[in-house]
Amino acid sequence: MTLEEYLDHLLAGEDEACLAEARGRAVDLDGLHRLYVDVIQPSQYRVGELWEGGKISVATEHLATATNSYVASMSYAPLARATGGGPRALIACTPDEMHELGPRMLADLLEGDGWDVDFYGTSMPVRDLIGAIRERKPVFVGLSAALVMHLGSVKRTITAMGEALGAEKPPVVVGGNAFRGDGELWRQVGADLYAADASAAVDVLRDLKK
Amino acid sequence: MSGAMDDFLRDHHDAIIAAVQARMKGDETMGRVAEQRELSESGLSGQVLGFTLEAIRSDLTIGSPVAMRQGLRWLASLGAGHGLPIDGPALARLMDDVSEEVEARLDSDALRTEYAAYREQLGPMIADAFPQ
Repeated sequence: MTLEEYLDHLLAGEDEACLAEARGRAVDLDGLHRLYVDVIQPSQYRVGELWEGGKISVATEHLATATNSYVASMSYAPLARATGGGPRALIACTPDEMHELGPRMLADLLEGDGWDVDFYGTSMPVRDLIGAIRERKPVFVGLSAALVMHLGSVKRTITAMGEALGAEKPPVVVGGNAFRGDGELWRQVGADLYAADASAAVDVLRDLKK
Repeated sequence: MSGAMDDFLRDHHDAIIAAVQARMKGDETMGRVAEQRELSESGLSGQVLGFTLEAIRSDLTIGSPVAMRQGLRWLASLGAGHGLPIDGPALARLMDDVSEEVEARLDSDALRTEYAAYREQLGPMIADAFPQ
């Protein structure tokens, strides 16, 4: 099935056809990486573009997003490994950021790579994020932003982490649609690392496990 | 951005939005867009101004107008795709209203200088996003 064919099923709300394609690809962790990066991420970007261009309704956009989320969860479930004992990672969205599919996929792939992942989902308040870091002591923190207007929020979050935690602040990796198209934005928000997609992030973060 | 500017934009967020909404009341473009989107005029202007102020705050925080630039391009694309009567002059009026309400509340020369430098970039960004 091509990406366009997958997209057609997605927009039609044909979740079982999407899931069948996904399960055919995600037969192992490598396949799951390719499913997330080659199918779910680009189809999700395409859904956003189609809504922006007036080609699909808000309802269709929500249906497609929910279907992709379902497909990702159902594809990961058979491959999920028991966590515990691995290095800890903390993944969250910055305040007001409501798009969680991307960081959710990163959390899945990191768990597959042996990390013990705390995934906090959307719109994590800064004070609570800092409290979670103090309590859980992750090796790194991953922050996701889908909308460019949230870049300032990413920087404010990282700055607050530095002020509160000092030398104890873990490295921060950033990603998400807000960083697409400008290779230097991640530096401007004060991050330590950047990856263009969830699979690339797993590679980038592997060095921190040592 | 200075911490003082960040504090200022956070603390005056609601007052600036309310003041600009009062200025925009009866704006023909906003009224037509609201009608097409089946929103009240105040509901629409509240959303638009919330995004606008967040983009300004983000740009001043990271020291680059990337959020406003991309936001304007997105708005142009959205307007074209959905047949909304959004154009450069309407956006320029909105940005002028926002900037005047921001500047009216700034209480130091340093903040006024910082905002003035940012405001100078708004016209060219609108022209880029909405070419005549």
